[in-house]
Amino acid sequence: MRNGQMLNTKDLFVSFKTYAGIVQAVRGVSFELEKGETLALVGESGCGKTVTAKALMGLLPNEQVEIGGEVGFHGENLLEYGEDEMTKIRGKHISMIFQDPMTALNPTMRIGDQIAESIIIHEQKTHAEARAEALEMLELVKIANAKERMNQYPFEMSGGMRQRVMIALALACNPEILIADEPTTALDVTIQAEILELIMQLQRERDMGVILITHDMGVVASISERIHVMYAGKIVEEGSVREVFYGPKHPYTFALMKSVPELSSTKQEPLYSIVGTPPDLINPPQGCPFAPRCEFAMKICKLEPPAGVSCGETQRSYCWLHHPDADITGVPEVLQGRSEAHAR
Amino acid sequence: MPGNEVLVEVKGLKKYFQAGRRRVVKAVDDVSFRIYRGETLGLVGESGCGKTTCGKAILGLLSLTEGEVVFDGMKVHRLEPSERKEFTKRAQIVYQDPYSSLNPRMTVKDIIGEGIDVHRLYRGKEQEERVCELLHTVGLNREHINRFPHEFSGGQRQRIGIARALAVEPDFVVCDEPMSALDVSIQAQITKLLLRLQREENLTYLFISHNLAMVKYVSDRVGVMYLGKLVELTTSEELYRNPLHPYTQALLSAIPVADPDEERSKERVVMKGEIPSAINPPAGCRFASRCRFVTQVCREDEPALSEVGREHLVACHLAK
Repeated sequence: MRNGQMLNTKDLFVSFKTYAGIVQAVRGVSFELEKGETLALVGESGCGKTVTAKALMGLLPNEQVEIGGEVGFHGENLLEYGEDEMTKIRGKHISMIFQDPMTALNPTMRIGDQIAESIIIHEQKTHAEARAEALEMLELVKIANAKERMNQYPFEMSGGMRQRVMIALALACNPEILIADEPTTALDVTIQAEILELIMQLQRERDMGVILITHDMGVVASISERIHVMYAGKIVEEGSVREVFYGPKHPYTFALMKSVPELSSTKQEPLYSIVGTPPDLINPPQGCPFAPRCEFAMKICKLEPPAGVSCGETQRSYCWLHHPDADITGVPEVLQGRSEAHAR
Repeated sequence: MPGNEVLVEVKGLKKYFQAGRRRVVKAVDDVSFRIYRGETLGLVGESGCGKTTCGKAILGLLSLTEGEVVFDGMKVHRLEPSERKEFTKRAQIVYQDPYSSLNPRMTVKDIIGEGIDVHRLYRGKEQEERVCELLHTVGLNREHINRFPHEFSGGQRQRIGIARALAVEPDFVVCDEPMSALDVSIQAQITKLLLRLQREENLTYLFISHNLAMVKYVSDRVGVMYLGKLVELTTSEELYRNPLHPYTQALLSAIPVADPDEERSKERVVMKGEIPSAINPPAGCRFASRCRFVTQVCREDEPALSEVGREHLVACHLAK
């Protein structure tokens, strides 16, 4: 599956200046996206997954925001690009679809023109050519009566259809990378299944790299190859979907998976729940961000951030429990991925 | 434990909304079911299927177009003045959105104490003690008593909403999507809280949600709604093991499971098209336009909800 890196981030930092203080939303996120793969960024609200995506796209405002680290794309650092240069990247090379298609589409523009707009800007086509391409895109995302729909406004469509329009809009210029930020959260499950199917199919046909941002482990399981679990602005565990789902090594990942009722479970098996709430990112915890809520936390966890430990072929977990000196009595066996690699 | 005593009986409930001169939204169209004392009845369905309308109508928060709701002998929509107060004390609701369902200008003490005041359950110092006790029950503490809703997180606000519902010591609580605005780890906390309270206070729940896995987890019986109709009603185990209505089958198969191997190997039941509008819905079976097994009779005759097995009701011509 390894066939060339398309995008990487190195030690990405994003902080916002607010009246209350500096919010450190993203604190050292690194990952690589390969051609044709789907990488999932998973976490709860406020963990920094959307901010990461917006930083990649250069969509964060310049004022009151500080961004550090590196976003590598074709050998260049996108964070050094100015607004003009980013405009050429956005939509053409990297596209994004948003959670709420009603607010992301322009309510005053016919959808055909919205899709054609980006084709006119990026590919120097005439209006008529661009509209013809827009029509093709609508057919590609399986909108019935695409010809009539071209002249309609977003409010005339259902949520699922609007999300299809968003996908058509994002893919109009054949981007190499698609960032999907909670693409199905606003939709019903049956519509969600169709949209996920559509994203997967288009990805295969176009060999796109997809960064999927979601909080739904089920969605990750159905369409991603790799997963990065984020908590309080940091990546706490990463690996292939099979590694992480069948052998989570970080207590947060473990808890996250156990706290969702499974369809096959019964009430007799009590639901696992994480006590407390995520930390305040104005004063993030000094050690492991999950330590205050972790039932296996040790003294060291609150003092020093844990280093990444390789626990499998591609799996890494950032947890002190993997340290050879850690006391692991009472820790579930699945979490005990202790590795020689820690010494390195 | 759920007994056989009927607490709520819904008979032929219809709620139509006028949408323009000749357009009628049939939000809930002839739905009947019973809720037994001590049980949790789940209602699932996609947005617009009428589940929330149903919940609100049961509590008398909406007038009915037709039909009747009987709560322990009281006709909810034709309450005597003396009954009205009793009913509002015994039946409560927890709303979906903890951000908009708490008055931003009231303190926690006033929000929770309002019902206690109205029903004159406790006064003065005693009332404050009671509010603290309720806060403790839902996992908050007495320092929170003078704060305003905006000072709390979503999960904490939902706890306040639950404490408010419990303040008047109800028998029956309608939980209208109580988790959907919350994060996964917080959802588990609230679920555990609701289940614990049910055990301790012997509550009866109507649990409304679009999350089938969650509904199955908390409910004893589950009703599936589609476009204003109840299409299947059975125990939660049976619904999962032996779904009979094609819509229930499609709904179950659409839920992504957190298991990559299973997820990639399973065959999805694909539904055709989108949900038709509830404005002038199609004649015959409402699901006919999207059903894989549709026959001529489905388009002409509306199937009635009928018993096909023990405690298993289905409205489908083919499930016999």
